[in-house]
This record gives sequence, C-alpha cells and structure tokens, in this order.
Amino acid sequence: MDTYVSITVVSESEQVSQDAIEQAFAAIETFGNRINFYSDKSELAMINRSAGTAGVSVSTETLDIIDKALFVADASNGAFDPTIGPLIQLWNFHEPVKPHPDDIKNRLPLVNYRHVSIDKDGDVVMLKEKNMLLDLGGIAKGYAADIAVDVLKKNGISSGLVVIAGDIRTFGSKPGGKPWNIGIRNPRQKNRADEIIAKMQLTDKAISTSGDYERFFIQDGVRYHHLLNPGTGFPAMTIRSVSIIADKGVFADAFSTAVFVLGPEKGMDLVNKMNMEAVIIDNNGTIYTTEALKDKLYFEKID
Amino acid sequence: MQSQDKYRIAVLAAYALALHGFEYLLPTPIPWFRLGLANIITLVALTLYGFSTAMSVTLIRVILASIFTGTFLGPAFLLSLSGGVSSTAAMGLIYAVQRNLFGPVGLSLIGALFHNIAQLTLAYFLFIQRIEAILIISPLVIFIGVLTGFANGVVADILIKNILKKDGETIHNVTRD
Amino acid sequence: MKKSIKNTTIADRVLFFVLIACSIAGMVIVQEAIPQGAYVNIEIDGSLAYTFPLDSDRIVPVSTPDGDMIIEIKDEKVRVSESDCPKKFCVSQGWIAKGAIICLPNKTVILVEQGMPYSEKKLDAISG
Repeated sequence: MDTYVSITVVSESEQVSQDAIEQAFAAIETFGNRINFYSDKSELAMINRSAGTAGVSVSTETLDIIDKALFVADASNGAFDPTIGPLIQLWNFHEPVKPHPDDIKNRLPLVNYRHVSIDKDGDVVMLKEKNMLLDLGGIAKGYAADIAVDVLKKNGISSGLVVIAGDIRTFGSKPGGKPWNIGIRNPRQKNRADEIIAKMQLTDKAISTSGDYERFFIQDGVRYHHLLNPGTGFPAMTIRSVSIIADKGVFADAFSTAVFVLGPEKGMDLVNKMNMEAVIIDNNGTIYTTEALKDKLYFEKID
Repeated sequence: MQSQDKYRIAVLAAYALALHGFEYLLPTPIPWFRLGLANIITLVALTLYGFSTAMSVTLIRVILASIFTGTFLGPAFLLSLSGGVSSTAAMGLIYAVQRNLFGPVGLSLIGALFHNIAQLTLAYFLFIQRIEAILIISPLVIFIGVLTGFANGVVADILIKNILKKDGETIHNVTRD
Repeated sequence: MKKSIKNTTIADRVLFFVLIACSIAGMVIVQEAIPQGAYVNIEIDGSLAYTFPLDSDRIVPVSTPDGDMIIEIKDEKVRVSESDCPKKFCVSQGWIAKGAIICLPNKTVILVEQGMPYSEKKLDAISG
C-alpha cells in the first residue's frame, strides 16, 4: 500500500514475530495491488474499465471489501459511497484548483452505490452505468489492517498493533496485560506540543480518523479537502475530524468517512445506531463523544 | 501626611533604591541568589515609623528601580512588586499582631519567606505553569532566602539601635529587654 | 553584630531553625524525587517547543518572543550557554543532568524529563 504501515507484535520468539510480520506485510501488499484506484493492473481498475458493459470476476478479498463498502453506504444512506470515483478524479489536491461546478454536476449522477451489483456465488462485481468508478480509498486502509491482524493471528501472534496511516487495529494486550495507548491527532496543530487532542486505551478494537487536514488546499479562506460529500460533490464542511472506534478496522475506516459527511448530529445518531464509539471535532473545535467514551478519554491541554 | 513623614519616606526610599541598585550591579554567583538588601530599609521603616511608611518606601523603591532599569510594568517589575508588597505586608501584619514576639531578625526571615513565596507563585501563574519546575527550585530559593533574610535582619537590628541612640527619640514600641 | 544575634528573641531563633530544616528537607526530597531524565523538553511561554534526547549532543538556538538563547546538550547534560536576558541566571546555573533550568525573562523552562512530552507520553500509535 502506498502509505505508512507499522506492525508491532508481542511474542516471546523473535523468529515467530519476524515471520508473522513479513507475512502480514505481504498480505497488505497483495491486497493493496488488487484495489489500487490508480493502477491499470488492479482488479478495481478492471471493474472500472468494464463499467456499464460487463461484470468482472474478482478475488474473494476484493468482493468482500466491496460488499462491506456497500453495507456502509446503505447504513449511512449514501454519506459513504464507494462509487465516488468520478468526483475524486475531478478534485486534484496537488494543485489548489476548484473543479468547475458544471463538471461536478455532470458527474454527480454517476455516484450511486445502488448501481453496483455483486454476485457472491460467482465472485462477480459489476458497475451498471458507463463511466462509473469504484474508489475504495475511504475503506481500504481499515480493511488492510484487518487483513494484517488475521494473518498475524494465523501465524501464532496473540497480541499486536497494526497502524496503516491513521487507521489502527489493536488486538490482545501489551506485555504485562496493559492495553494499548492510542492518541487522536489534533486536527489543528500549531506545534508538536499539541500533536494529539486526546488519548485512550484500547484492546481488541480498531480506531480510524478522518480529518480535513490530510489532503487539502485553502482558497479564499475556505479549506477544500478530500472528504467529499457524495450528494453535492463538494467537501463536507461541518467537521474537522471524526474518530470511530469499532471492532473491525474496515468499519471504523468507512464509518469515519460517513460520519464526517453527515455532520456532528446525524453522524452521532449513526454511530449510536451502529453501536460504535466516536470522537467528533466540529468546525468550531467543539468535541463530541459517545456516552461510553466519556470516562475513557483523556484530553490533552491545548490553547 | 505631615511634611516630616514625606521627608522621611523620601530619604528611606532613596536609601532603599540605592541598595536595590547596588545589588542589581553585583554579580550573582548562584542562580536565584538575591541579597534583598532593600528589605533592610523596609524593616527599619516598619519598626521605627510604622506600616504605611514601610509600604510607601517599598512601592517607591520598586517603581523607581523598574523605571531606571527600563523594566517598568514588565515581568521583572511584576515579580519585584509582588515580592516587595507581600513581604512588607507579612512583616507589617506580624508586627502589628505580635509586636514583641519577633525581633528584626525574625521579621526579616518572615519578609524573605513571603517575598519568595509570592514570587514563586506569580512565576507559576504568569510564566512557567509547570508545577514540577517550581517545586524543584522552591526549597533552594527559600533556603537562600533564610540566609540572606537572617543577615539582613542583623544589619537592620544594628541600624535601628544606632538610629534610636542618635535620635534620642524614645520609641517605646521597639525597646525590649 | 554578636550583640544583635544575642538579642534575637526565642521566636526568631525557632523560626530560623525551622525554616532552615524545612528548606534543607525540601531540597533533599526534591533531589531524590527528580527522576533521571532521558529527554530535554524546552517549553516557551507555557507550551512545549522542542524535545531532544539527552544522549545526543547538539547546540540549539532558541528564539522566544522575549529574547534569544542558545541551549547546549552534551554528555547527557544540558545548559544554557548564551541568553540575552538581563541577569543570565539560566546561564550561571551551568550544566544540569536532571531537574530544570528556568529563564523567567524569556518565559522558558528547560526540563530534563523521563519521557517524551506529555502529549506523546507512552503512546503506541496516533490515529489521524
């Protein structure tokens, strides 16, 4: 995967650890190649090329992540949408240029997760409309963390920590039975001192954060970032960052994007409905957390 | 206020200012080492002429010294002011309540202690905000304060006795057996 | 002078010895309580500005809104080698291996501490 990956394991044997970690990295690599939006050779690219014409037979893994993406899309009523590809293509965060509103308007009808059909028996995926594009960027890192944890467990590791950019999956506990200490990045850092805004202890949980600071440009005082609202084609503006704590990385990752798009109130409703935990920082800097998390979060002093 | 009082405050403040300035010029061998010589004058003023004279002398000294050194209303001024006012107030209070319990040496020790406590507290709230840092230096600062406070108290005692002898004024409230 | 000392009241003497005893006790406690540090954390005006490991030598020019200073880390000790504050208490404090150097005029605290700054202390990962 084209991002920062770190794997930590607790084991008595150096050899077991190294083998397990090697295998986990390899599994992440294989998975990353299958669902790479930007590579012509990936399974995802094949699905996209065949949009509107034919179904594509894919690996179980690819089918599974698309299936889960559709589940989150459905649960969030389209706030998370894996068919956001045409809009992602339009926005280029390497240069501070806003796409023309007409272009966005023209592509909006292509964004509709209901037009993805999957055949679980034959492992076939099809996009029903021409020019539709699947993009799994909002779910892939969390899923990859899950893959890595499964591989580690199969290789005899009972506790560890997999970090893929901001998506973290913990399992088991640290030596001495201690939980893992996880920080949540401050979405508006001034210096190293306020790198995190809160911290908490996690075991056997995944946490993912979606923030408007990851890829963005600022034009006329407005921050245009990569978390697009599938309904409008423009960045969702009510939140700075959302952290979701769930059992699986795949859901933490995808729902953090969905909640970001929904905004603090509707987002929190979704989180509660899905029985997950969340920390939401809205665009005034107000912090919302789920009820159960209130006693577990330690907030850092920031000015 | 009588003109004699004004004159007395002016002379005492001038002495205090001179000591303050002298001390400012001295090299400081140990960090946080301050002689607090001006407190000698405050102590003399307090025992001989009362609390309001002592407080006036302190305020004039602190304000003028900061103007001369260009630190008026700056952090050094605030520290100096808090130290001066607290120590004068503490000494004045003890002197008013228990006149014969402490001599100049004891009063000087109290003055030094409150001077340091006020400065450390202010330093915490205004500048440092790290309680560990303050706790680390506090015992040393207070220890040095006790030594200098003791020395200043002895000097003040000598001065008070000499002034009393010279003046021939009988000031009953300082005579002790 | 001897006479002045002899003239002190009992309360004077008690106060003197109590203060001496308490402050010495305080110094001992502080010395014991200060942990052997591994990091140099430099805080300016109440917020952490720099963190360096104590065991790697370096010279750091530090610029604060109130004045500039040069902080030196060498042989697991730290000192302020130059400062444009008026009294240079921080400079005269010399090398320290634990505890803190405080420069009030520059609102700067240099702390030798056990861990990374509080915000990253013992964190296994950061989400975001």
